Amino acid sequence: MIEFQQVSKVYDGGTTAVADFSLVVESHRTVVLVGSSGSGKTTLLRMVNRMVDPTSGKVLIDGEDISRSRAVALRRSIGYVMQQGGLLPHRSVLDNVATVPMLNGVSRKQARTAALGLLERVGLSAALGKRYPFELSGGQQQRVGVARALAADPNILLMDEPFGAVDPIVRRELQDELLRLQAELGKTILFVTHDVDEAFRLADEVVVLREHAVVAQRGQAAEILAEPADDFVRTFVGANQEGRMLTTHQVGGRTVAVDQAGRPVGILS
Amino acid sequence: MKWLRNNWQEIPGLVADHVTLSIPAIVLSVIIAVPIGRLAHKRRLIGGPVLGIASMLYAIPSLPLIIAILVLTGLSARSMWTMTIALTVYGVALLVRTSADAFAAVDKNVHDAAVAMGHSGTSVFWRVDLPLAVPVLVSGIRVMTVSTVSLVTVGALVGQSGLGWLLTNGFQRGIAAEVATGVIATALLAVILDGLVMVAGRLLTPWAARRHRRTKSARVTARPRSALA
Repeated sequence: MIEFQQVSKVYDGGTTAVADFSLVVESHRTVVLVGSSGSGKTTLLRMVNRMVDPTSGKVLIDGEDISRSRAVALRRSIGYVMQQGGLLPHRSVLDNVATVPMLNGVSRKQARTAALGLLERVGLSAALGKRYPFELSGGQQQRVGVARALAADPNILLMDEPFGAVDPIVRRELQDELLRLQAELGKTILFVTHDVDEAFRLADEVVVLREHAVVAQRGQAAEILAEPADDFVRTFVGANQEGRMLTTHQVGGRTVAVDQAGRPVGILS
Repeated sequence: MKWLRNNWQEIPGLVADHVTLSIPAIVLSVIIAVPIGRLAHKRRLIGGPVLGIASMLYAIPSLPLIIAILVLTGLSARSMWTMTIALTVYGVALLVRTSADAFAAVDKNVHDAAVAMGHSGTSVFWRVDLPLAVPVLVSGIRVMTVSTVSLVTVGALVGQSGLGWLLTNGFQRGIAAEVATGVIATALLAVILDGLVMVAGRLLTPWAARRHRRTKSARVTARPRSALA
């Protein structure tokens, strides 16, 4: 369980990134922070592994104030996936995945063997292990990023726009893969994105942020779509866009959903 | 040619002396300039002035610098250390800016990812920042190596042995072949040491070589990658 207790972050120049933010992320759930750039969502994520320390307020993991823990040890116990993978370009794929266990003192051989298993787990062939990250496609790199984050078997996964840099089809595959993994592993996932569709697909709970990480609305995707709290949320989630406003028609005994432009988008079963 | 035929036995000894003066200065310059470059990159406020001052050192003419070292340290002009200190000053002056650039060229995303994975400050430096800075560092070390090898010749003016002796002696005695031999041998030595540094750099960064080949062959379709590519 991750708890933000009235955290704020003001940078040295006087810029406020986060103002008085509180949130509880229950264990084994996926919570997605969604907001445009400047909403402080990445800052919030980085507070959990102490890449950023809040100016005021506290972050607790399983009830313990993390400001009292050693930052390095804390980070090794939390999986982190970042945009464009953030893989070490001078290490092979296998060594990238084996990094955290080796930092924790696991032998190189053991860590590599475990890494092979993890590659398979995220849908990559073991043969890719010997390659360097730049010899992989963007989607493959992201899968390696996920495997690396899982390597030390952390309870918590932090994901910072992990699928932002790949094309829509691959992004969809990666999202499905994450849902499948999450169903198997049941990690506590805090996920940051600016993509509302991604948030709705992945989240048990969506938190819509405006500037300075002020919570505009939180809840399940369906609740937010059905009852946007205000115009900001309505515009942000596109609840009034033609793609979201569907009507139904009866065609040959089936109910067809049609968007506002009249294009059929699906069938109700 | 006649001069060379009669005096070639002298040359290996002079080359050895030249190398003996060059290598310690090159190594010391790297050891001193890399941490300064890293500091200048990390602390921008003091970094600017530090880089400025260090670079200005290169503008000091060599003879006054050698005299200053003699006065300040009390070493003798014939001591190898006099020359080593002077060469190291120039080496550091040449290398600090490239060192700072080398660390600046490390992808911030990669650095952050390494920190987020739980590398400590020192292990981020040794395992991530430094290895990734090597390609740019090597380019700076190559320039500095060539500069050092040519500067060693100045040592002949204060009585240090090396290929520079061929220049001063040949000039005084009016033997053009001796001067030419000195120039060519110095240039050859510089090229060889430069090549050795390049090869060492390649061996240290097998990943960069593969990436380089790949971006070269795929230049038409390649997406822009980090500054290292």
